[in-house]
Amino acid sequence: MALLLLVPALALLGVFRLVPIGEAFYLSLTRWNGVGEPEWVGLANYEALLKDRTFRTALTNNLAILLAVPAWVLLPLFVASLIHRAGPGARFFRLALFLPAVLSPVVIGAFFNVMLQYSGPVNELLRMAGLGWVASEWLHSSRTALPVVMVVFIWATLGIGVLVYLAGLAQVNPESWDAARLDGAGFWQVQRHITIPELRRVIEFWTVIVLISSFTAVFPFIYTLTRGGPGYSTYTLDYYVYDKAFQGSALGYASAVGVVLLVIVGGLAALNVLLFRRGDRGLTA
Amino acid sequence: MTQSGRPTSRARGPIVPGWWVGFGVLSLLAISAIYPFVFVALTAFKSEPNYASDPVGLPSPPTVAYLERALEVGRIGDYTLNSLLVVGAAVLLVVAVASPAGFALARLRFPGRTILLVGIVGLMTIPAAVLMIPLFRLVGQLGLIDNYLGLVLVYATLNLPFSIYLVAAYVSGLPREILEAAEVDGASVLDQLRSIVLPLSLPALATIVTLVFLWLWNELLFGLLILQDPDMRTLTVGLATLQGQHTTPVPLLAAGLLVSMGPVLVVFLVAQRHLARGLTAGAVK
Repeated sequence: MALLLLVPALALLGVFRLVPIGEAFYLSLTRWNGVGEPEWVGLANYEALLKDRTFRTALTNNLAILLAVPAWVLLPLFVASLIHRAGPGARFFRLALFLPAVLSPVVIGAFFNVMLQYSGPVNELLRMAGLGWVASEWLHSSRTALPVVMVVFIWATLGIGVLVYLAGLAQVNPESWDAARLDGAGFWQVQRHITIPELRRVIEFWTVIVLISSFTAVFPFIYTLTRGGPGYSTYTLDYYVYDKAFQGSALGYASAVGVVLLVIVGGLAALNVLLFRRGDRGLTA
Repeated sequence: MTQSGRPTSRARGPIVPGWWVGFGVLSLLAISAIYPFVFVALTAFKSEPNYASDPVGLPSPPTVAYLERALEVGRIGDYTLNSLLVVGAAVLLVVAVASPAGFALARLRFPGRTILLVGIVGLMTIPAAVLMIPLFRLVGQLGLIDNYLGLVLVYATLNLPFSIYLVAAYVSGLPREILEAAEVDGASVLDQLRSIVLPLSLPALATIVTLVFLWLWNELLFGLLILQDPDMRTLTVGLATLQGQHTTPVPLLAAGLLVSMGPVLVVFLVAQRHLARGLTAGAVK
């Protein structure tokens, strides 16, 4: 009986998930231009990867993105704490801050492309404020492009993190805060001594999501904001897979890049599964 | 205002260094989150010279010429229909397949259940970049490139692991006694699923419909790869193409963006209550 209920799901997941994962490994050992049959080349793709400067740039950019993780973890926590005690406005702020998360990266990309043009509104505002020297080709300068992509990304996903943290804050006993208030603790002290310890589980959970997302979720933003440019300055591993496969017609080589990405994310995912199991004893026991 | 604002905020949570600082930060973030909608809505009704001379102000005079052009030249209407068709079918498929599977995993005892559940959760984190080449090949081998069914199957599978997990988590939280009573009355497993579990799980199913709709409506990568025929493009791909052409006037692009924002906004505002539950299913328990 259980089998009957599971068969459709397992069939779909088997054909469209498990088989493709196996195939990714196989294709990474071939040369294939997308038409005809892949040609077996053994480990040649991986050997080439070691000498590939673009691959190294993409990997470096992924590591640079990791530098944004602390902000990406703590900013929503900070904002959620503010909303939690905002009183009557809380519902509005929660709703408003989530809005960017329901927008397509294509919409967000198009919007910021317009906003950040050299003669666009952002630079105009800076000039009006007497900060004309800061005005820049934000998305077309190799120094600023990647940081700008990350700022946009964190802005776009802020509402999701806030929602996760708010759900956690709702579980905390309000008396902890009352006690701290009586002791005269300030906002930052409360954050450090009550909010962060109380929400440890939620922070861990969100950190793992963020770590994985930093390798897997930035692609659509890069595609619509910079297409990897200028030069290779915003190439990431997943963008490189797409670029090699569908612009460069090197699908075997691109698969090897994909496998490297899978190994990195697999390590992080193992951590994720551990956390999920810990949180759901009731479900898996 | 200060007098009435302070006591409420203090009563609800920790203290902040000045209530207005927190309120100000939240307000700025909320404005930044709402502004893209305002900008796109205003720009869609501007003419090109109007936009060039005043990119942020009100349209003067307002014109619907660019909305008309977006529908004709940009074919935004056709692409919206394509998206509705593919995303609608995929959402239905996800719900139809995930509900029995999630129920079986949560409530039936059979060997390998725990491993299956952990495996399905693990599948959630496989990066799209790893799957894109093998899935492109698989869909090609099945003869489903430029066929709506190809994208429907890929879309449904992408969201299955999350949806199965959510149903399982929700069903395992339902009071055990209800199903046990039904079993004593001689109700078969299918009866239990149909007449008890599904009606009680409507909130979880609503969450799945909402989240999967939003994700798929905004999906770019697989839409790009699987429906290449210009007649079959999804809205996201159509917009990305429009945005990629540097000759596209900003008001025309904004008109297209405005159309694509409509359905997500409606779904989001109607269903936002259900969002928190889905996004926090793993975080708080």
